[in-house]
Amino acid sequence: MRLDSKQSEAAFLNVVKDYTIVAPTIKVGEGRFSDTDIVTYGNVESLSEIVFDGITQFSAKSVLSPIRETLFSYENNNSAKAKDVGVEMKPTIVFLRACDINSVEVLDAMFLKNGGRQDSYFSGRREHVKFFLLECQSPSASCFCVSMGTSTTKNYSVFVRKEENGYAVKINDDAFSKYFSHGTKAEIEPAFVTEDLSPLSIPDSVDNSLFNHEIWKEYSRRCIGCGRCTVSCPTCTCFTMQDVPDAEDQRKTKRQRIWSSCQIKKFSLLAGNHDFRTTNGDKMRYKVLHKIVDFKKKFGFSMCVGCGRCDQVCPEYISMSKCIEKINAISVSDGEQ
Amino acid sequence: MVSNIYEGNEVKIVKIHKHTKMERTFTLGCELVGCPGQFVMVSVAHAGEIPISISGFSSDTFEITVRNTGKVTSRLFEKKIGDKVSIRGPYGEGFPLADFQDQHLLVIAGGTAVAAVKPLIEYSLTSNDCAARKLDLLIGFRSPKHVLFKTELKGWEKNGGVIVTVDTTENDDEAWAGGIGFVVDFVKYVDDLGPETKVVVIGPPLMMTNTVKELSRHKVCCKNIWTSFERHMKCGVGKCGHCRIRDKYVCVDGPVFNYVEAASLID
Amino acid sequence: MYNTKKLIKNAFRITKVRNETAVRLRVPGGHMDAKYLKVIQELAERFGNGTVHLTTRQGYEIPGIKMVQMDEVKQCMAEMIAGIESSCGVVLEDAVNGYPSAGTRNVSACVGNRVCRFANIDSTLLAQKIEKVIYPNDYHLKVAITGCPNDCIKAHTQDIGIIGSVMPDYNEEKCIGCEACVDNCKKKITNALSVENFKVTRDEDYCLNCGECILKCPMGAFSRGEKRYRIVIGGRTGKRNPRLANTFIKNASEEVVLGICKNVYNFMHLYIDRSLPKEHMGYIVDRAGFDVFRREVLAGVKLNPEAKVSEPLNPGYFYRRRADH
Ligand SMILES: Cc1cc2nc3c(=O)[nH]c(=O)nc-3n(C[C@H](O)[C@H](O)[C@H](O)COP(=O)(O)OP(=O)(O)OC[C@H]3O[C@@H](n4cnc5c(N)ncnc54)[C@H](O)[C@@H]3O)c2cc1C
Ligand code: SF4
Ligand code: SF4
Ligand code: SF4
Ligand code: SF4
Ligand code: SF4
Ligand code: FES
Repeated sequence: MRLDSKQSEAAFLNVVKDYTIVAPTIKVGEGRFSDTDIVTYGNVESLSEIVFDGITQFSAKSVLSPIRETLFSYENNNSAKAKDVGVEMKPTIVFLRACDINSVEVLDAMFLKNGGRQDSYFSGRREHVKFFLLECQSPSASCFCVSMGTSTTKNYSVFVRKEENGYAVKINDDAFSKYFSHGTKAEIEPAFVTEDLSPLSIPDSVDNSLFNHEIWKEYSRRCIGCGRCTVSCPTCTCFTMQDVPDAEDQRKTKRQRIWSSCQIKKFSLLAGNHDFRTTNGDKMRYKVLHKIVDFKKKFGFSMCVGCGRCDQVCPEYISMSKCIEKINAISVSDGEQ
Repeated sequence: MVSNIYEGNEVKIVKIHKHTKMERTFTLGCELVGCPGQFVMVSVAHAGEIPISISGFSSDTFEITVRNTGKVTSRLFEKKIGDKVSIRGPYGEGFPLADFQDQHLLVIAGGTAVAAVKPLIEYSLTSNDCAARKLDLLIGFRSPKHVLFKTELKGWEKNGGVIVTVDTTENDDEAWAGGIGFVVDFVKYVDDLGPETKVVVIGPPLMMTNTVKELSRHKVCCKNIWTSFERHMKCGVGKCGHCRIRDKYVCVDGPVFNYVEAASLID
Repeated sequence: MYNTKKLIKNAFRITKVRNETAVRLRVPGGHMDAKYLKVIQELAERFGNGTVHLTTRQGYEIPGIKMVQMDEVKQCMAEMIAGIESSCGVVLEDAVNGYPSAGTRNVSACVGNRVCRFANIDSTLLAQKIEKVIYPNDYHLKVAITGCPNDCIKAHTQDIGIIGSVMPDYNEEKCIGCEACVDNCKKKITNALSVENFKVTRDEDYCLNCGECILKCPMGAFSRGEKRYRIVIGGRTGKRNPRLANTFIKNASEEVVLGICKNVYNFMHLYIDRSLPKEHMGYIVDRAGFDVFRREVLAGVKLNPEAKVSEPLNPGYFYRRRADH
């Protein structure tokens, strides 16, 4: 389907009536540095607010796993049992690239399968979410989705391309046909990236000798353990749970789950101050191996989808793909010995 | 409708036993069907939720033995008989009881970790079908005033070899007739150690590594050693990621691991 | 032959060598179009001795100019000085006759948010806005703008130093309690933050509004609120009583900054010691009293609600002075 600008915005207005729309958008002046903007996910109400190219600073995972989510509430001091707050969510459309659509499989694996149990809060949100595809005409500087096998997808309801005089859409899910009936018929296919700027080989497994390798010492010197890489990553799911008192009424408490990360302090700290992975190099190793080896061993596919966000946000210019390259070089040479 | 895996059940505290200033056993008034080595998530309203090993099973109650170390445990220590906490579980893989049947079993534990092996000891002594052939216990505490489960220890002595040691008797007023020194130094006093002896070692990380080294000197096979891991835990059900080591989740795949696997799990 | 007073006011200098001068070029905010470097090169090579000095106040000083050639020099630089000043909104009506005054020194600025990650403001832009308010003016006043409390321009050594600040906005919904902000503020700044139950609180009384919590936060839970300015006054070097400036107003708005810069000249006009060839603002404040200074510079200035006026100046450091005899 092809729709001119007017038709598209009119169609979109109808979609907005039925769905919350979350898409890459520009937030003017909201960058970390003075007088800078950021492109990141946010709620939009018209197509013109959507940014169709570039990498977003954060992923859209907070739609499915909010940064701070209240699970239970205690109404007063006497009850030991907390009340399940449940999930309230309007049907939501999220605009995602191929890598990010594939990243949802990782969230599904963790929240719906791992440990043999389903997380009711996640599943409650998941069933309200539909994907609209954003295409990639060419890769950005830091992404490597082809190497990770996440560069294509069929798992979307509608594909939307911005064109000079309007928008082109491909509808995969009949539920959305009614919104776009005013356009002219056209066969539209999304473009997917077919080659990474620097293709990578991903090792299937690593030798335990890698754990004491020199490369982690270099990361200990460079990485500052800020956690930006993991909070921006679409596939990191780690969280903590805390009882947070209500600001107004101290007798009330919420049990919240809050994003956490293996890169930040106290992640593995035990009472009595015993800790694991105390250097930032060890934390880096733990993260990278989870992304490319450990998760895969369990679920058969890599956790990392090669979106390149971690590279883009690292203040120390630490690159995930460079690290994978190093690990691969080490495991290949180990294998030859 | 998916059930809520984080939702606990209210249980009444029916008994509190004070072992030391820092350690108490809470008897909770409900039946819990589980296996020695498993743990529960204990939730103290307005404070938070923590993993605690089950330290005793009975027909209509179960026990947890807790060391007061921080936010949640200190709030738990404010609770009195009749107060309620919330429990979910049991979780995790416990000890491989079938592997211990009719075998020589040695249990080595230090400090609060004794709580985690207490059900195993009781089970091995009393169970009709899965009891060990011979049970030896090697149990260490910091000093006499830190000794836990004094009554139970006396009972266990009737049924098997029990060595109780303390690291030191300095700065301690209580009389002490047992051994003095680290548990690792007492491994040599355990009779009949050999390749087929099944051993459970549980305690602080350093104690575990040293003890395993000593055991191999006495020809104990690594594959016959089991241990229990303690890691930061928030969910207990394989979701929060805190307890993960490589592709294993301590809360789901552990906390009990065979030593061969445990040795390959580098944090 | 030459009127030294006029010459100095015209931004030329009386130098060691008789009949030889140097011209000082203003670059408000210390940032300018690169094309002017060609003009500076031409001035130095045609009229000067082929060298250029970069002044501490971020101007250019071209030495070795024969006084007889001053008119030609002014002709040659007219377009440039008019251009630079007009980028500040200052109209030099008679640029072919050079600068109309030199008492008020070049308003200098650090590189600011055009480059630096720490900067809370565009230091150059504010310097240019201040230039418009205070130039031309004969009173000797040193003003400098720095982008953040790191104070790279050394605003604390100026009569008026402006330090770019920001009101950090905290959004609990985005905070993951990683404590990066808290640890950093504790280690490097004023320990203004604390965290309890995964919620950060900021103690306004101690916060420097440096914005580092915003820089450190991986989540964007601390984000940039309004731009604000810390005005420090009375800093000086010199032969009698050097002193670092003190905070006069914390979290002032831009309007307040500009209003105060303007009013300072009134104050100086009223209280300056005319028996001296020139007197620095700080000495005038010391003599007239801080209360008088505050009254005069705040006259007609509407303080924004967050602005806080601080206490009197510190005494500074005196060189040992021999008793009268
Ligand atoms: C499988 C397992 C069994 C355990 N069994 C027992 C037991 O039988 N008796 C006993 O006294 N203790 C036991 N612990 C340790 C107990 O969980 C911690 O002492 C407790 O979490 C400390 O909580 P806190 O809030 O009082 O301390 P804080 O220091 O305030 O801890 C803050 C948070 O960190 C996490 N945490 C801190 N230390 C630990 C730890 N050692 N293990 C896991 N999470 C931790 C918890 O989420 C806790 O809420 C066990 C731990 C595990 C993993
Ligand atoms: S590890 Fe980096 S490249 Fe991989 S999915 Fe996460 S953010 Fe994207
Ligand atoms: S990389 Fe770290 S934060 Fe991300 S999912 Fe793995 S353990 Fe969790
Ligand atoms: S790799 Fe970079 S982004 Fe990640 S924790 Fe280290 S410094 Fe921060
Ligand atoms: S602005 Fe600076 S001083 Fe204020 S809380 Fe943030 S880091 Fe601390
Ligand atoms: S740095 Fe950000 S996320 Fe971390 S505690 Fe501070 S405000 Fe919260
Ligand atoms: S405790 Fe949460 S994953 Fe194990």
